[in-house]
Amino acid sequence: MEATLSSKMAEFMTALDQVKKYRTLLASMTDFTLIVLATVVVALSVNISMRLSTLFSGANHGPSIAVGLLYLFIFPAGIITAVFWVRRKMKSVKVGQWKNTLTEGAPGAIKLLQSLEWESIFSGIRYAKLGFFLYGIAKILAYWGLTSVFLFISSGVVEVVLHISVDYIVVMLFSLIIVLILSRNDLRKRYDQIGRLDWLLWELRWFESEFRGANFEA
Amino acid sequence: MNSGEPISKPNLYVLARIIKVLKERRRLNRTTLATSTGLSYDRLVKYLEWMSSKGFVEFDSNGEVLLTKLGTETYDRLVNWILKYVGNVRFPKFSE
Repeated sequence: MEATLSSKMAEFMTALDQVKKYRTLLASMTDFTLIVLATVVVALSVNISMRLSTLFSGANHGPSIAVGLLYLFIFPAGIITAVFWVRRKMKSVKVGQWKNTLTEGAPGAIKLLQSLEWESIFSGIRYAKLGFFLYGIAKILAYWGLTSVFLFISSGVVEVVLHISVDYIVVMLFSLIIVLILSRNDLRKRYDQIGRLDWLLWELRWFESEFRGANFEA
Repeated sequence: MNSGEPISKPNLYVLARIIKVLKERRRLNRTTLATSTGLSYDRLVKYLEWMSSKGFVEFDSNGEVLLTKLGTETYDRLVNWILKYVGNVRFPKFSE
């Protein structure tokens, strides 16, 4: 009986740990956006400086290929850095601190239940859902930007070699379709996880109202 | 034996700890029990007084503390009571 309680409490606390991790997604969104924006600024600065250098010195730097290569390196590096930064932040969240308390058995389970701050847990789940959703959108936008740049450069090469011009809007739409197709598993997983967070929120709301309303008579 | 207000509403965690230690060790003197439960001696004595008034513990001629049948049953009831609530929560499985 005590073992069942401990294992159920471990499940309980693991779910709350996961919420804590997801909640950091929202906090990491600022970092993610800043890293991606910084990448854009760096890429544009390099582009502008190379064009200015060509204009003023008259030197031939071969801007289309050089800038294209530069974009190809700067954008993926920025986006990969941003994604890894967010993952690192999520991994740095301290979890499992309750394990030691739970080794006490039933008293440990009681202590953990007594220490739960329900309002903070509920708002944590709401923030986790928002963070999960926004991070998904930010990732899609970043990959869309990356694919668009890659396709713009490719279309430029096609234009030079084959003399076929491709409309920018078509390139943008095509990039979006590619990104959505490649991210479909991630989108599905994200949708499922948001559903699970909703589920957890309802379960915990039920538990909190039942447990608070109940009174153990010794 | 002790000072201060008697316990009117005990902390369930402290109560459960005392009972669990007594369940495992059967009989203990107050000092050892205080050490095993991590409570201060005064606080333990207050809890023991409360538990004794409810019939959960009794003291032998040497002053050692023993858990009564009612104490054991109460502990089991407490575990069952929590399990009734926690056990009904269905936790979703999250992926990393």
